[in-house]
Amino acid sequence: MLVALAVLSAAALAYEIILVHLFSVTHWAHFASLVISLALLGFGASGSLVTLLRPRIEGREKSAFITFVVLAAITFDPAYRAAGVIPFDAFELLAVRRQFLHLALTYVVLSLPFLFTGAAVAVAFLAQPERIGRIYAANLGGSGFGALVGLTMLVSLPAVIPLTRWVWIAVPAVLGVALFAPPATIPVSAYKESSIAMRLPEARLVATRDGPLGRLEVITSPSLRYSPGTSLALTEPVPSRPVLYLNGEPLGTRSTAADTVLLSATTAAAPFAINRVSKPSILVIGLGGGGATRLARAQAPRALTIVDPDPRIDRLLAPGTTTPSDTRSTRTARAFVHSSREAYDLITISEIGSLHAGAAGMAAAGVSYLFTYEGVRDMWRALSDDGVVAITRWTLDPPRDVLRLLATIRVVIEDSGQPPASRVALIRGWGTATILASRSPFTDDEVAVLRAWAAERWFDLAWAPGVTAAEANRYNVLEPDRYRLGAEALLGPDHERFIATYPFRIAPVTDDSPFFFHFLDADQLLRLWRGEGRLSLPYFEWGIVTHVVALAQAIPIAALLIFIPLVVLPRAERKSASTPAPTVGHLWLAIYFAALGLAFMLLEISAIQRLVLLLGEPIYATTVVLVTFLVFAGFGSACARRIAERVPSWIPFVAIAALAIVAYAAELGLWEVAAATPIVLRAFLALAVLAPLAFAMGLPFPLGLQRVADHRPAWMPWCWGVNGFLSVIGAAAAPLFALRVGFRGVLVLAIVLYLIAGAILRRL
Amino acid sequence: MSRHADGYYGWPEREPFDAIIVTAAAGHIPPPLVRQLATDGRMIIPVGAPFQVQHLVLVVKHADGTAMTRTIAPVAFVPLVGH
Repeated sequence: MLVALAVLSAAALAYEIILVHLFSVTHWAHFASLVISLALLGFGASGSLVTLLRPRIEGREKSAFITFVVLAAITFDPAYRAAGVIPFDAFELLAVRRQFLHLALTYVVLSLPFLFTGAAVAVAFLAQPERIGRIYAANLGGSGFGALVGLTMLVSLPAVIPLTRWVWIAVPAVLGVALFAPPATIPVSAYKESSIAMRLPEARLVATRDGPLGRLEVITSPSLRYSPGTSLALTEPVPSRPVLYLNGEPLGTRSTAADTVLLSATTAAAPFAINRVSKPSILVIGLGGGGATRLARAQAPRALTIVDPDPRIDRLLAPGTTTPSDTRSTRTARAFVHSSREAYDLITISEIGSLHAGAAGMAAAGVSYLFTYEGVRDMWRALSDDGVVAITRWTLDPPRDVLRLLATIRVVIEDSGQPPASRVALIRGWGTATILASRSPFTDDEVAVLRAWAAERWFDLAWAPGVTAAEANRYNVLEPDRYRLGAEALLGPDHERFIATYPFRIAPVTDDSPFFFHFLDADQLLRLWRGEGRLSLPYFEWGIVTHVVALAQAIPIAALLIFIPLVVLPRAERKSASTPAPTVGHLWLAIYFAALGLAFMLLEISAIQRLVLLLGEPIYATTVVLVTFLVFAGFGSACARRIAERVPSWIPFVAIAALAIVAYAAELGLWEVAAATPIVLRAFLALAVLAPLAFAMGLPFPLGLQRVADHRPAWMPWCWGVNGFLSVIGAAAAPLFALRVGFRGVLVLAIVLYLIAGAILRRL
Repeated sequence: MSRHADGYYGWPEREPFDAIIVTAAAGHIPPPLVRQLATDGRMIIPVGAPFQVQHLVLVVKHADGTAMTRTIAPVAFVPLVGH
């Protein structure tokens, strides 16, 4: 039974991970987390289902277990295929009402394998209550292995196709039809930019590369002209070029040597107008389509360093974009500048990605460590004495990220003991804006050069020392010109009042709450909605809204399914002579297992978000954290009974609190000493830091469930369900808590929940 | 008069135009259309990502040959696809 449970748990988690990946490719990452988190409610529902079925299961636990295992196995593939048939498109949710029905159907269909998997675990508890720790260990350990398998498969996943074949292989009992059936697919949303590009005349998909960092595609069409913010002074048509897409959103064009004139007509070229050093050392962050690299090479640099974590992009770019003489790093930009010993004359970040993603707040709930206070400070420290960092962003209306960057740069420059106003320039076009932050003040001559350079391209020099407001808003007129007003305030004495009264959050963010793309608090959003109604929708941050929607749906569903057995079960209990009298109320049971589910996920999700800093990419952080938490919590669970016999019941909870604090401090220490080490070493160090905490986190669930098994075995599946529901709710809530109170706040909250659970265990 | 062609390139044989109205969203403002504007000519064009909120941009050509843009309002148009 334990082996079967471990294999099934592994298959379920691998399935979950790949579903998230596939939905990210076919729809958007935040919708993927919404759909999958709701589907995972199947785990919680399994507790209620088994609780209600218990009178029929009693005495036939083994056959019930086999039934649920088989049901889980045979629904993996059909569920995925059915989801592919349902014409759900996340983009149409606000416009087409039947999409809500499609969304609900998708939830139901995808939740079935999780429902049956969870039911198998719940029945296992009923069948062998004396082995609760081992059963939970098999579930966790199997899930950990499944996480490793699922995430490893992403490296070699050839397309959006053979997902379920792997899952079938993982469950050999049901090998059969799916291996020979036509491949299942979930259609890519018609509204993703790559889908739109493929509908252009003579469009061709000329390359596709799948990998853990997402799906890269190269699309060509004579009508495909990607040119963010190109000057209106350009008289020739923007040439058609192949465009690189990552998960359906554009990364940039595959530029050629002939594109230098075109590239020079963007605000991103502004730093190259100032020639402070004859042969500069240049750091290009983000390969994109290779345009920034071409501009940098035109300066005849003495050294050109290119940082992009995705090695596939090199192979998709035209020859000559990068050369053997370049220094090429696949570390993240933040890790690179943090541990850099080089003093760069220019650091340029001009890969701006999708306007859609930026404007629609897709990344609002995602962590971004490059533009935090500490990230900008790392860049500042990596500059030579006359070095310049240039950051290009889309011009949003009203401006958000550019103003937050200005606010951050101000603090960094001030903290270095220098006045900021004379060291910053802001060039704004109709589509993009570029901030230049210089270690030394801009001279009058340099400002004159920038002024002429901008005027020649019909860009506005929104801020530079000596530039007046009247000349800052000539070519791309804004009323009011919030870029100029923002720069004046943020680089002057009025910055605190400006930040406090601005309709969006633009205060600098830190590594403790690295949500750079989060600009709207709940109260600001509600104010906007009350004032503008549907017109405020463009300013919504969908990355956050989807988490709220997930919670708004998950909480009532969970409450209902937790409540139903409360009504039905006591009647069944009364009929059962074998059930001992209750010793503790349902409320305490619910609080105990809810606190464990919630706290576990708060620690797990915030650990993933924090470790993105050390490990570079969310996919690596997810792998290390999931595997460590699940496998070592499984070990803890397997040892729970022996530990319970030797130590007081409160010890594991205090240990979790202490180890959580130690792990948090150790992660910060690792970042300082190991940021430049190979990824494998960093991953092992992170595992070593988290393993003791995970081991301790595996103890409370079996300790509590053993008490339930001893006194009220009929409630075991229900407790499992409560824990499952709150795990799903915790996973959706963790990023929202982190947005509000930072990682330290989440840590404190999780510790408090564990301590509350520890106090309750003494009553169970 | 009407002509069926890729709107990105405008109608160079009939330039300059006092007014150009673009009724499909473009990722960038097509340089040929700016070039084909007459002095003091005006163009309105929705600019932004396809099927997302775009901005209706007014482009005005000055006598010195430069152009000025002014963002008017958030809008949503179907994409400019060419051909």
